[in-house]
Order: sequence, then C-alpha cells, then structure tokens
Amino acid sequence: MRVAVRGISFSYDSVSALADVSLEVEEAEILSIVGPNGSGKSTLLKCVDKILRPSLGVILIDGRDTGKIGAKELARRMGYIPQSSSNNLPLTVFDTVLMGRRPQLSWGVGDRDITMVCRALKLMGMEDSALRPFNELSGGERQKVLIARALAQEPEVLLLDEPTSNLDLRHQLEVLEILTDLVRRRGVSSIMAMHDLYLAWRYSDKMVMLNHGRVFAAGEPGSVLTEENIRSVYGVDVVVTQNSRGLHIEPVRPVKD
Amino acid sequence: MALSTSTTETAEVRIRELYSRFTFRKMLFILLLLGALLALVVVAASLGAASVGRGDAFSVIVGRIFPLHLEHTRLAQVVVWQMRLPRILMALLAGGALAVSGAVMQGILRNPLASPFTLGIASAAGFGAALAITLGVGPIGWGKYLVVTNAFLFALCACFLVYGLARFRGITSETMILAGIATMYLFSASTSVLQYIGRREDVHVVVFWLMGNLSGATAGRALTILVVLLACSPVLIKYAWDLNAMAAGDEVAASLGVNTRQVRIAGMTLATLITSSVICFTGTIGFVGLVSPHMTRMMIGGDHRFLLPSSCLLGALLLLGADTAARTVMAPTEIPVGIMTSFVGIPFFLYLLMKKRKEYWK
Repeated sequence: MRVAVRGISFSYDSVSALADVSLEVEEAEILSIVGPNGSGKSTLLKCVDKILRPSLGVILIDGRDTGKIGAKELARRMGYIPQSSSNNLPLTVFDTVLMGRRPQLSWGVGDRDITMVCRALKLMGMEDSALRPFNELSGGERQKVLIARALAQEPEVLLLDEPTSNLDLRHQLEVLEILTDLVRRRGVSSIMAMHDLYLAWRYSDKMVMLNHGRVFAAGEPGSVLTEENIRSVYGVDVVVTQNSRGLHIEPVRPVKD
Repeated sequence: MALSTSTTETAEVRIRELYSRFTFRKMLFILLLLGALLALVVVAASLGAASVGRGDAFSVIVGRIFPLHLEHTRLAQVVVWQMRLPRILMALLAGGALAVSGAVMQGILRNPLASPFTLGIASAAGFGAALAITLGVGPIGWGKYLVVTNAFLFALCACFLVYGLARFRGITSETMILAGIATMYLFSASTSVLQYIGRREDVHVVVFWLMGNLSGATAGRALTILVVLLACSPVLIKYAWDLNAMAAGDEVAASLGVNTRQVRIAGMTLATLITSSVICFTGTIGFVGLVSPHMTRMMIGGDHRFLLPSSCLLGALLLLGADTAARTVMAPTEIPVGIMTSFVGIPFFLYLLMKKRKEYWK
C-alpha cells in the first residue's frame, strides 16, 4: 500500500483528539474521512503530514516511516490542502501556486516550475486570475488556487481538508471531478476529510468514520453510511435509500438524548 | 482533444507572458529606485550651509569613487566628501537596514503592523540609552560610548525576552506579538521612570534621542551598519521562500517543508541585530521600517525574493529624503529626522493606499 497509518494517537495539551487510529490507502485510491465537527478529521490529516506530531503510532509511505523522512522530501511527496486560507500579506495567485514548487526548487525559478504552475492554473480554470491578489478572490476561487498549489507540487499523496466546504454546487462537482480524474491518471493516493456525506460516498473508494477521535466504522462507503452508524455518530435519525441513481441520505430529526 | 491541447498551450503562453512582464516590472522598479537614490545622493550632497553646485557635488562623488579627473573646487571636495557624505551614507544604510528588518518582521509574524518596534526592541534600546544618559550606568561601555552600547545591548535583551516569553506557548506569530507588546510597555514604563527622576538637562537629551536623528553620523558608524547588513543579508535572502510560504500560514508552510520555528527565531534574531546596529547610533527612527515594506508590496507584490531588496532601497531613499529635508527646511535649525520621516513618508503612503492600490496589482 502507499500510505499506512498505524495506531496513531494525538492530544492537544491534555485533551485527546485522536486515539489509536489506523487506515490504509492504495495508489490511485481516494479515502474519505467523515465524522461530526471535532471528531478529529483535520487533526488526522495534519498528523499524516507531520504538521502535528502524534504521541503514539507511525505513518508509513511505501513502507517507510515518515518520522525518518526529511521535511523537504516529505513535502515533495505529500501535498496538503487546508480547509481555508487567508493571507494578511498580499501575494498574487501565480506566486501562491508557485509556492507549491518550493520543495522542488532551490532558490531560482526554472522553466519547468513555471510550466507546472501554468498547467495547474489552467486545470483549475484560474488562468485569467494569475496576477490577481489571492486576498481579493472569492472563497471558491481561493479553494481552487489552493488545490492548484497542491497540483503544482506533483505529490504522490494528496491530503484534502474539506475541499468543497467553500464551494457552490457546480464548483463542488467540478473540483471533485478534477481530483478524481487526477487521482486515477497519476496514481495519486488521496485522503480527504468531508462533511457532505453524499459527495463523500460518491467520490471515494473507501471511507473511515470517526467519532471522538476513534475509528467508528471503516470500509466501502456504502457499508459505512448506514442508518445506525449515522445515528450513533452524528446523533441524527436518517433514512438511507439506495437505488439506481445512488445513495440518498434524508435527515429526519436530531436524536433526543 | 487536439483542440483542448492547443487551448492549454495558448493559456500557458499567455500566463508566461503575463508573469515575465510582472517580473520585468519588479526589476524595473529596483532599477528606478537605484536611479532615484543616485540622483538624491547628488542633490543631498549639494544642499546645506556651504553652497556647492550639483555639478560639483556629482564630480566630487564620481571622481573619488572612479579614478577620473573631474573638475571641482577644493571647497566642494571638503564639504561634500568629508562633511556631507558620511551623513548621507548613514541615512542610506540606516534607512535600508530598518526597512529590511521591518519586512522580515512583517513576514515572520504574518502581521502588516509588525516592525522591530512592535516587538519592544526600540523601546528597550530607548531604555538602555536613557539609563546611560540619566544615571550613567550600563553593563559595558564607558564615556560617550555608553549610550551606544547600552542601546544595542538592551535591544538584544528585548529580543531574547520576547523569545523567552513566547516559548511558553509555542513560537507563533500571536505569542510573539503579545510578548513583544508586553516587552514594549515594560521598557517604555521604565524609561518614563528615568525621565521622571532624571535631571532636566538629561531628560532633554533622552527626549532628543527618542526622536531619532542622524547628527551623530560618521563614516565609521555607517560602515558598522553596512557590515552588519551584509553579514545578515545572505541568510535573510535564503529565507525568502520560507517567508513566502509562512505568509499562507504555519500549517501550509510546514506542509511545504518549512521549519517555521527555526525561520521565526533566526529571522527575529537577525532583524533585531540589524535594527539594533542602526538605532544604537540614531535613536528611534520608527516610520521607515514599518512603511517601506508596505509601499514596496503595493508596487511589486509580496514575493520576498524581490520585497527584501526593494524595501531596502526604498527605505534608504525615504530616510535620505527625510534627513535632507530635516537638515535644510528650517536651516540652520535641524529637525530630528524621526519627526521628518513621518511628514515626508505619510503623504506618499496615504497616496498609495487611497489611489494606487489596485492598479499596481494588474
């Protein structure tokens, strides 16, 4: 397998955020992480990318412990897209995407770096905004630029923290189509935290459902998104129906304590 | 399929062209600044009590730097080379140094209001100087050097104090700014105590020091700043990419392989060193370090590879302009340059802020 997370735990000061979480992702595969707010989705992604150091457990890429991989090499292999990003100091869209090339370049910007930035911008349909300041973009445009930055990085592993959270309906689908296409064509392994259960079901090969920092259910998305699991983890009564057009989750009411 | 490939290529060509024009504009900006600096040096050298023509000033400067035999009077030679140039050099280097450290501070703290002054470095230097002036005590130094060494040492102290305080909660931009503000108030209050208990004539000297001025300029002092600046610059330039990444947040920077903690500590230490080497000679000149990086950003964007050298040049230009105005507008009375920087710089800054901001981007 490409990425294997083995029994990691993490706590913020004394508050436990993750406990004994394990998962595996193969090449050209998308794993989605679902779970309510505060269940540890973002923390898990940050631990995988060594932004946070788990107190227990290991993360392996192609069997190598990431703890023994240097920061720059890890940055060449793993791309991380945060939930949102603001920038107090203005930087153009082009320069923001160019930053994705930082792990590859020493100081000067080469021809290949510029080519990769151009392609990433084009792929996200942001080529006309190349010299606009990042701060003046709408939420959806920013999200696309952040994804473009990760694409310019040419990573083998892509970590996405709610890639569709700021997007309207059309952009949500567009972004997920581009991502799945990329994952398939370049054999990227991808882990994405998702709030929208339907999109998570539709665009992932595997799913992990977190509850209070623990893996509550894992496996094929259809087997994870059951009425019982959603009721226990999210505290919501739902009706799940599956027909020829896919899986539908109809929220009924919050469960009374 | 063929169609989509060709549109990809056209888009690529178009972005490339835009980007190279953007880069060209940054280079042009640097060249323009250099040109403006040279012109201002000649003008500044020709202004003052003894009248020296611009032509004479030009031939003295160029004639001494390059082995050319250019015609000028003996008076011009003495006035320009021995009396005015040390001060001009000091203004250039002090302005450039303050602007660079301001740009670095704003970068590592991700805060457009940050400067070495926000972190309490200037008020610590002020306290050191006041201690030397009013009580005549300090860790090292004697006589007339006591003010300089005290200001320098206390500025470094502030840096370590901020670092020490911030360490408890982790070295992030928020902890450093809050620790810096605490440090700033601590040293300002201590300076006030000294002013309160000090003799009237000493207090007057302290106030004058706190306003900042370049009247103590000598070639040796200018050279000291130059050496510090040249020693620190390679590391700061090397950090340019890391600063760009950190502008997007620590998590993103970490995911791009940046050791944010290391960059922050090293960046702060170097910026403090540069600032201290200036303000120990000049007193607190505040405005240049805060505003030069902003003006530069408005004109050429936030890429630190260009921002650091450009801010340096702009800071030099600003301080030399301000100092030239300070010593000539009310001649023979000199206005402290710390006051003048604001009067010269603020109209320009406001103009950029109101009118130019968006146009400069496109």
